[in-house]
This record gives sequence, structure tokens and C-alpha cells, in this order.
Amino acid sequence: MNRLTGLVVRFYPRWWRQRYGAELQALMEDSGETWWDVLDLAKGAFAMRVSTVGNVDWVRGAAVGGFVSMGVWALVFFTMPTRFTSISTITIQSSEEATPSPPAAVALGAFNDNNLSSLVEKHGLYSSDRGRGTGVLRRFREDIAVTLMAPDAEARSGQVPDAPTPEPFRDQGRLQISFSYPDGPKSQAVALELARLVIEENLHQPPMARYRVTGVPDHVAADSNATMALGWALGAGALAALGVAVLRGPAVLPPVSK
Amino acid sequence: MNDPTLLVLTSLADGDKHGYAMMADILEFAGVELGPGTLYGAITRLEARGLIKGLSSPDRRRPYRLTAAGRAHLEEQIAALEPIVRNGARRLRRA
Repeated sequence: MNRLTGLVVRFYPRWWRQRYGAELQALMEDSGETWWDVLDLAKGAFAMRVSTVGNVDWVRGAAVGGFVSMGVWALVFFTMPTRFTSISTITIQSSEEATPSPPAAVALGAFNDNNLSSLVEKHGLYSSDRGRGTGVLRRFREDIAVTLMAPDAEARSGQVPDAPTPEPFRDQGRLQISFSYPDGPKSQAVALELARLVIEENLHQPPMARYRVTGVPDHVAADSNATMALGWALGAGALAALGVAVLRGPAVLPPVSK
Repeated sequence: MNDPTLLVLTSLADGDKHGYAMMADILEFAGVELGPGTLYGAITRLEARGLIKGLSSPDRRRPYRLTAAGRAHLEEQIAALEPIVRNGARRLRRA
């Protein structure tokens, strides 16, 4: 039984797992596991919980909540402007002897006014905001986020800071540079260019303050936040449908005639 | 006709079977592929109603047997379905 199936089986009541868990495991080993089996087990666990509780009020609540949530997310989907977020990832490493600058400081140096202005011109960004002086660059910086994914620490993320954080980064980690923009291909292209700027800025650091870039920028994908809202709407709809399916399904057998 | 409890009772009508054997048998005689959650949901309900019983087994593949009450219930359900099947077939022939 794989980990996901094991997790789903844990949603069954304990008495049920003690009684049927071992033979269900044997059945799964004999028949093989598919995604449909996992979904079927999830539905079965839900139904078993309902029939065990003997009270369907909370199932009704889940179904109603699912429908309401689906409506809200669908509204978000249809009203929010579509923006695409592309993430470019660089693998970095610092040696034992080096005292590298904090990654945020490197990013701060890379995303200076000159570099960002060049990108605005090259890709025709924020055309509706042109002529407003520094407003374009401020908006540009608001749409950039730098996240350090360190193996020994929680991810530290945020927009490009006004001042670098004091902590340098040691060991190996991934620096993610994301850019959100209404145009998907442009968001991808700019995310890659931002990563290139960070790499170049890193090379301009003194040798002992430099990171070793052990991986080139990759995994640039444009994901729309409107698409994410649609995903939430579909998930909520699935919850609602599951609740309705359990409420309408045969929870118990018809009475046995004597 | 796709009631999983009825399919399980029918599967056990010709002998004891464990879960996987029931799945395979139901797929063969009814063309219905029961998922593991659906199958064990039906088994749980049928056992709770005393219509089937689990037998002791040396390994994890516990076989199940139709009880007398289960056999009577299955006969009753089939008897209730027979006029529907008979009339449905006759009306289709006429149409």
C-alpha cells in the first residue's frame, strides 16, 4: 500500500481499520492501486464516517459549504485580472571559507534602476504606466519576489527588500526569483532575465563574498493565479459533490423482512 | 442493478470468497468493477446486518460466507427484480 493510500485509509474509523485494514491491504496488493482506487477509498471512508456517526448534519454542512466556496472562488476567477507568475530557480552554494553576501543583498544590487529600466524597455513592460517616472520601477519591484529555499532552514521569501537582511547564506540551497505579470510569455522571459542579473551581480562580488552557482536557471513556468482560483473552485465543487453523493447514496441496506 | 451489496451477495451465492475473488467474480458476471472502498463498504454493511459472515483465515485474505439470512434476503431481492426484468424485456420486444 503506497503512502497516499495509507493516508486515505487512516480516515476510516479506527474500529474499521482494526477489523478490515489487513484484508484491505491484501486486496490492494493483489489488485494493484490506481488513482480511482484512492478516490474510491476516500469516498468509502467518508461514507463510513457518516454511517458511524449516524448524523448527516455535518455532511450537509460540508456540501453546502462546498457549494458556497465554489461560488466564491468562481466569482474570484471571473473577476480577478489574469496574472501569470513565473519562477526561475538557481542552485547556489557557499564554501566553508567564504563569507558571501546575503542573497537579498545580491538581488538588491542586481535589480537596480538601470537594469530594471533596460528590462522594461526591452520587453515593453507596464506600457500603461509609462510616463509616471519611478512608478513603473516601483511596480516592477512589487511584482518580483526572491525566495531562498535553504535545506537547513525555512524558506525566507518576500519582495525585493529595501535593505539586505544581515544573514549570509551558507551551505547549498535554491534561490527562486519569481515575477508576476499579466502576460505569460513575458513573465517567463523576464523571470529568466532576472535570474541572469542575479548571477551576473554575484560575479561582481569580491571572490570571498561570492556564491558558487551550481545550477543554471530552470523550471520557469507561467502559472496564472486565476487558474489557481479555478482550481480552488473545482476542489470546493468536488467536496460539495462528494457530500451530495454520500447523502444520496445507499448508506444502509433496506430492512430485512422477517 | 449496480447495488454493490446485491452484487456481493450474488457473488457469495455459489461459495465463499475473499475480497479480491469477489471483485474478479463481480467483474466477470456483471461487468462491474467495484473499487476497494465500495466493496468494503458493502461488506461492512452486509456483515453488520448478519447477511454475510467473515470466516477465520490463516492469512490476511479473509473469506466471507453467505448466511441463511443473507440467502433469504438475496432470494427476496431477486424475486423483486424478476418482474421488472421480465416486463422490461417483454415491452422492449413489443416496441
